[in-house]
Amino acid sequence: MKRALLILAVALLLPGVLSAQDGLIGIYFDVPVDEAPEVMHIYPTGEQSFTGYLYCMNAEYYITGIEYQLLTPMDPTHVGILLLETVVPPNSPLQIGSPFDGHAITYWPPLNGYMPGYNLMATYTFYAVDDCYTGALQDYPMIIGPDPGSGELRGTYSPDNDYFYPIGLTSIICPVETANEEQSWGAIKSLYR
Amino acid sequence: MFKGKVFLFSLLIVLATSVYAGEVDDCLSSAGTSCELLDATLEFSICPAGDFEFISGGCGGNADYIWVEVLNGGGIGIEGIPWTDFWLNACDPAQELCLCASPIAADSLTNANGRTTISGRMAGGGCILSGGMYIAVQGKPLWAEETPGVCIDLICLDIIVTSPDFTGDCLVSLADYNPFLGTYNLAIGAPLFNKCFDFTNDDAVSLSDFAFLAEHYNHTCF
Repeated sequence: MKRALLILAVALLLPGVLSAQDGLIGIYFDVPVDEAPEVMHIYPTGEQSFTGYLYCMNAEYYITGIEYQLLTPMDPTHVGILLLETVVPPNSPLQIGSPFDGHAITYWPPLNGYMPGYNLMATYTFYAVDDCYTGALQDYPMIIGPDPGSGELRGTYSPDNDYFYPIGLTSIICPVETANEEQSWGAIKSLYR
Repeated sequence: MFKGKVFLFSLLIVLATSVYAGEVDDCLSSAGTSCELLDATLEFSICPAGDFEFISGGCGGNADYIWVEVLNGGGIGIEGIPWTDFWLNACDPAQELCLCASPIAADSLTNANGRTTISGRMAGGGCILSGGMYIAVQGKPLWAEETPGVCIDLICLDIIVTSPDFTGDCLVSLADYNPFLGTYNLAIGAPLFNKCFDFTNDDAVSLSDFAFLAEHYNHTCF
């Protein structure tokens, strides 16, 4: 039991340690004022557009570039969710490709990854063909993965444009909630006596 | 009275910049790079704004340089040549760089032996992958002395120059971005790999090089 708890603790700590410097990158659906975004799921209305925000979190660098691919493994041809528009920040002079095919974006002046600890890398306008109740979009993952051109999910930082390797996050469209009974921790423990 | 002072001051400036022992002999004078001692090629990147790499990092260290020894017809070193009287460009005319005004400066006036070094940045654009670079002093390209007193070929220093201003028009623009797209994410050995965009000297054109292109985008001569 102790060994299992130890393995669990290491498993939970490891991503935190790995992401401490190179950070995380994912699509969020909220833009709170002066706070880090938190919401990584959304229930879009069918046949309407919605907005997603690509954020890089806790990457302690002056970020000058990023390359990634937006993966939708349940919908590889992107018929359920369409990407209508991608807008990059005004300090992005050049970009190559597109999110679904592999996207490289540059930033100059660099983005400050130290303060406040999160940076908007791009803004997407998506279009949901269906709503959440028809089934096609339920638990629909949007994963930030490696750029197919380089095979890497990575960024560059000033002054030498060396690489850093953030961890790609998964956002969920129409997450299906699993019902569970309200139980106290003691009641759960009692099951294993 | 005031005019007289201005005249004297002008005279002093002229003297300070031109008092040296005679005219540059382009055959007896010589030049080289510190990288030759390591049997290495000097490689650096330039931007029209003069804000890219220092020559001092050209062969992996931080103390690399181009050296010049300027001699007169009697084989005597010429002292006091101003740091702006030097010029570098491609030996192969097909790879001629676009250079801004005063594109390069020596680290100091030439010393009593006529020697100085160049280790700073260069302001310009273009790409030199082969053939090397000649150096000119006061408008005279230096020639290699084959036999005493006989010079046939230019001194071509073993130098590779890259620039985000690939087209060599002294402006980093869309005209440079488009050819960059054709070589992006390619490495040495790939048919369309273009070393001119490999600013990081890792034999690949990748995100790091793209970030450099973006950093210098729209830069031009001052």
